[in-house]
Parts: sequence; structure tokens; C-alpha cells
Amino acid sequence: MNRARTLKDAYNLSNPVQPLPQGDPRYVDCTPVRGNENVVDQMFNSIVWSDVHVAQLFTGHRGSGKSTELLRLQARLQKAGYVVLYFEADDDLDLNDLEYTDLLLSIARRVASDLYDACIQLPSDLLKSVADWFSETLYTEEQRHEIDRELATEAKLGIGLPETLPLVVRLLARVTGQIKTGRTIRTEIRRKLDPQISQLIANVNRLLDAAHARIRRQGKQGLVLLIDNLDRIVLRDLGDGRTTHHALYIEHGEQLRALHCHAVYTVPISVMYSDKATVVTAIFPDYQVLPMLKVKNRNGSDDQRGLRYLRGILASRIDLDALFIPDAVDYLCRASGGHPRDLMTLVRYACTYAPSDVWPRPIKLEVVRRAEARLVAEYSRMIPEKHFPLLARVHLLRTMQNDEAHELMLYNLSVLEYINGAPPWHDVHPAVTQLPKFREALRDERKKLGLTAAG
Amino acid sequence: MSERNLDSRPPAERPTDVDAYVGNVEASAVRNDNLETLRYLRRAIELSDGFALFFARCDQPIQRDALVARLDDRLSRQGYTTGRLDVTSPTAGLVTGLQTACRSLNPPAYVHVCDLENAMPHGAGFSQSVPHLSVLRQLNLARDRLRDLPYPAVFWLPDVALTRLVQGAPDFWAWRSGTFNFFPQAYLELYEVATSASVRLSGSLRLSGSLRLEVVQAEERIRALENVLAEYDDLGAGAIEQRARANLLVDLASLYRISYRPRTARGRLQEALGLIRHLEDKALESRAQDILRAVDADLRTR
Repeated sequence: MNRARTLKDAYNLSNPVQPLPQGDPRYVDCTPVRGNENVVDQMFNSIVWSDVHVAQLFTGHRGSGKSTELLRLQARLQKAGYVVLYFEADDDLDLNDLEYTDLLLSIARRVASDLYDACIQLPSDLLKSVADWFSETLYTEEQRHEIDRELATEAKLGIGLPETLPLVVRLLARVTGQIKTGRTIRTEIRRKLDPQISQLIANVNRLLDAAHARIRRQGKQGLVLLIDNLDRIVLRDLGDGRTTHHALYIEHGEQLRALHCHAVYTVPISVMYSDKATVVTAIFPDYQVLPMLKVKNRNGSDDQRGLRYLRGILASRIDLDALFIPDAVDYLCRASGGHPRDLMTLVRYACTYAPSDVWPRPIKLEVVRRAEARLVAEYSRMIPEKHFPLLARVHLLRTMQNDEAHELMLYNLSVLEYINGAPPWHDVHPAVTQLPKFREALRDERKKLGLTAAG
Repeated sequence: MSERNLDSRPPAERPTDVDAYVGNVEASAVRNDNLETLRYLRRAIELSDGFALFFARCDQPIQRDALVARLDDRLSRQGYTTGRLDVTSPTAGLVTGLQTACRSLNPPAYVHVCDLENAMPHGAGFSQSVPHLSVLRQLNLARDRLRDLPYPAVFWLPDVALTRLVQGAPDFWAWRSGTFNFFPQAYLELYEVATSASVRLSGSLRLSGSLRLEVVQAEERIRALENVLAEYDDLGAGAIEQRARANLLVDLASLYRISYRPRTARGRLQEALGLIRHLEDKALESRAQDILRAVDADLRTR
């Protein structure tokens, strides 16, 4: 892939929307400035070194590069002889309204269908017995007949899934389709599955055990599930201090750990800083956080190495000498707070503002200042009024509380996590520090904490 | 803009023809800062290969339609085709609608999405504690399906709705490739823009066929703007909100004057000026002062 030498190419190579596939030349390994812990190595080692199945959590800020890292993990595991099922949870599930039974059903479907696609044939009698269990548990006899008729008709008409697919695949595709789109039927399915949870897990595990056997027989190491986008489960208060996030990872964490395969579940970063964080990590002792790239040190000075890596990210896409004056590159890197997606967004803004009749180096300081100003204005929309004093305190103390307000600050990216040696520390996004309300709150907090302006 | 002494003649003879009010408005009456913003939006569309997500903040439907028409006019000269999706109800078909709209276009192309705010709950129902409203949730979760759209999409939203989207659909918002803020303009100016021969109006432009801005229309717009203003009640006193409030108040004052309510107009202007002093917006202050002088003249001659 050629590096961009025009504004248009730079704009399109800085797309904030696409995760980088494995092997993409734009990928830059930023481990040294992400706390020196290579999350892919860590997750990989947890899987290959473990004698038992490991369920891990993987988290990081929105746009920090989690999907890119998961795709790298997938490639690495495949190279090491694992069969990896990677899927985005929102393909199958309604993340507005997700319960653990939905997730388990989705996993069952993926195991049955993706292994079939990968030519790993599970025993037909096992598939039949699992299909029978789901069918009998979820549907009345009349409904079962109707489903049989519909599946047969669909096959005859050439619509829906092909008849050659095992019944369990077609059935589970139908069930997951229903739980994604139909509120009433979803409730009904959950009502039927809830008391049968151990049976549900047992049936999923039957599929996994059979898959594992076939996989091993093919000379491979085992099966790994990588479930992306679960961190986008909508955060909703369920009352009594419970949230939708807690319900999945705490109340039903043990069920997620009970599967007979290695699994990596993505989780919202805010969960790891909630007042229940210790409970989550007790259930899932193996977890990895993908922090921001460190662009400054805890004392506020520039981290030259971090800036160099961010420049590297840009240089892997763009001929910087052709398009940027050097100061403009550093300016954008600092303004991003080490957040890769914000860096890409800033580059896009700079390309939009850059004069089209200047060459070379049309992106000058005034252009990147405008780009930054736009980002600052956007951040001003994200922050509720009451957060400013809390943000000022985070900025002054470089640490945060484990409470709901701070969870939200991590969730909306107004606070970022950095690591340069344990423990991690936090700071406010640079865009937020430009807001007058933040500065006002900072003055007030300094007074309260008895700090000088430089303190 | 020249202001006319409304009460200098009997009611029956008072002018209802908008042209009487806009005599001195320049033919190209989109504010310069809005023109510049529109140019950047155009640039962003030109730069995009494939899908990109843009947000255009615009508080007034009539202004939005004028801007859409102007943008489409300019880009059509470069061979762009464009589609428009008007969201009419809180339904779940947004992504499907966009996919359908894209299928009918030939590259290069882009799509406008308008009236999404219609699908969001209004007023006091919204607060930070309940940011995940249904349409926003859907947007948040449907974003991966948008990634495969072949063309850029421009979401036109009023300020309040944009803030709701930012807070309620953070994953969707995170994919933005640009936000473009268009500042409110007086309706009369907009009217001039929209009817200017240099702008080809889109079929959906919400102007009546008449060339008159009559009092009854002013009253409708007053109601609409007052509702928008009320939406700001629970949005705090941020600079963006205060600027929007000030602009709304000035626009309202202008409309109250048209509808022969100079005292109300004056009240709105005083509120606006109170806000503008903190905003340091000389252009808006000057406009408010112009209207205030005209309103005072109206009151003196009553």
C-alpha cells in the first residue's frame, strides 16, 4: 500500500471506521507506549500455556484499537494451530437488550455453523440430539411442526439457509434471529431457557467437546472464541445498583466461564472501574486492558517516545514530509491524547481545512489548530455540566474514583487511561482541557486542594 | 437588514410581502461563516471515497433546506448525485432506508439524512440520566451496517438533537468524519436565499409556493422556535447552548416584530443581549441592536 501524498489519499487512509486486518502495513505495534504489555502476547500466552480452558476479558477505550488487536490475536492463534471463531456480538444479538442466555445461544449457533463452514463436521447424531433439545425446550409441538414445515418450504424455494446444513444450524439461526428482532418471542425464549440454564450450557458444551475432539484429530490445538463488540452492550440501570453490564459479567460471569473452550469476551472499560470491578476480576482473573498511547508523562511533560509512535502511525499511512509541516504532526499527536481513532479523526479534519492550492506541506499549524478546535467543540457536547469538577480533580490527581460518574467519563472518553508501569493512571482528554468550563473548574479544584497554579 | 416602521400605516395597509422587508438583504444572504462551513462540508464530501459520516448542525429546517439545496447545486455541477432520507417517525428503518437511497445513486454521490430529531423523544423527557433512547440505541448498534454504504451520509440535526445523539449513541458518533456547525439566520434572510434564482430548490424544500412571508407563517415559526428554545431549558449554560439561545431569541424578536408584537420582540431582544454580552459575538450583537432600534422606532410611532 502506497503512503498518501495527496490530501484525498491521506483523508481516505485515515478512515476512523475500519479496524486494520492482520498483516495490514499500516499497523504499528505500540506496545512500548501502551504500558509495555503486549495485550496480544498476553492473551495468546494465557491460551497456549494453560492446561484448562481460559475465559478472558479484553477491554479498552472506544476507538483504542481493540478490534485490530483481536484480529491480530486471531491470526496468531490460527498460525499456532488453533481454530478461532471470531464474531461481532451485534451481528447476532440485540445489544440494547442482551441477556446471558442470548449470548449462549449465539455461541451455540456460531459453533455449529462456523465449524460446518470450516469443514469440521460434528457427529450427526450429536447434532440431532442438540437440535431436539433446543426444539423441545423452546417450542411447543405445534410450533415445532410449523417450523419443520417452514424450513422445508424455505429449502424448496431456495430461500433461507440450504437444506444441506444440519438441522441444528438452521434451527439455531432461526432462534437467534427471533431473539434479535422479536421482543415477545425473545422474552418467551428466555423464560423457557432460564430454568434450564445448566441444560443449555451442557448442550453448548456437548457441541464444544465434539468440536474439540474433531479439531484435535485434525492435528490442531483447540478451539478459541473471540467475541468482539460485547463492550457495546447498552448500559442500563436495572435497579438496586445493578446495571446491564453487571448482569452479564458478574451475575452470569460463571456461566460464561463454564464453556469448554478458550474464550475472549470484550467488556466495557467502565466495568473495570466500577465499584464492582473487584468482583469482575475475581470471576475473570485473566483480563487485559488496552490503554491509550502515552503522549505525556504523569507529570504533564511530553513523552517523546509516545509521540514518536503516534508519528509512526501517521507515517505508515501518509508521506508526512509531503503533506505536513513537522510541528503540525506533533501538534495533532498531542491533541489526540494518544487515542488512535481521535488521531485519525483529526487528520481527516486537517485534510478538510487544508488549502488545496498549497503544495507541498499544505497542513500547517493554523490548519491543525482548526482541526483541534473542532474536536474540542465536539467534546463539549459529550460532557454533562456536573462532570467538570470531577474532571478537574482527575486532571490534578491523575487518578479516578470507582463510581458511576467516573464510569461515564471513561465511557465517553473524557477521561483516558495510560500505563507506564503499574498501576495505570488517568488524565482528562486534551480536548476537554481546552474547554472554558473545565478551566474554571480546575481553578476551583486547585483552591480546594490547596494547590498552586503550577501544582 | 433594513427595518421598516410597521405601525406607520393602518393595519389593513401593512405590508405582508416579504420583499418589502428584505429590500436591502444581499442576494447571497447565507452568512459568510455559514458559507465557509458549507464549503468545508463540500470539501469533506469530495475527499471521501466510500462511506463517511458527517453531522451538520442546523437549527432551522428552512435554513437546512436552503443549505442542502446550495450544496447539491454546487456538487451536481461536479457530477455528484444525491439522495435524501427524511425520517418521518420513530421507526427502525434508517439503515435500510439509507441502503435503498444509495442503491438509486450513481457515483460520485452522497446522501442527506434529515429530520432524525422526529424520531427522538422531546423536551423534558430527555436528560443525561437516560441517554439511551430507542432510536439512538438503534443507531449506536447499527453502525457496523453503515460501514458498507458506498457513499458519505450527512446527518442534518438541530443542536439539541445533536447533543442527544452524541450522548446517547457514542459508538455511532465515534465514527464521525466531521461536524459542521451552521449558525441560525434570520428567517427573512433565509427566505431570500431559498428563493434566490441561483439556488435550485430541492423538491422537498419546505417553503410554501407563495413568495410571501405572511404573518400567519411568522406565527407558526414563532411557535416552532419557542419550542426549540424550550428544549434548551434542561441543557445547562454551556457556550454552545447559550449561543444557540441567543440566536433563537434574536430570530424570535425579528418574527415578533413581523407579527406586530414589538413589546414581545423587545423583551426577547433584551434577553438575547444579556446572553450576547457574555458570548462576545459582535456580529450577533450588531444584528440584535439593529432590530432593537427598529422595534423602538415601532413603539415610538404607535
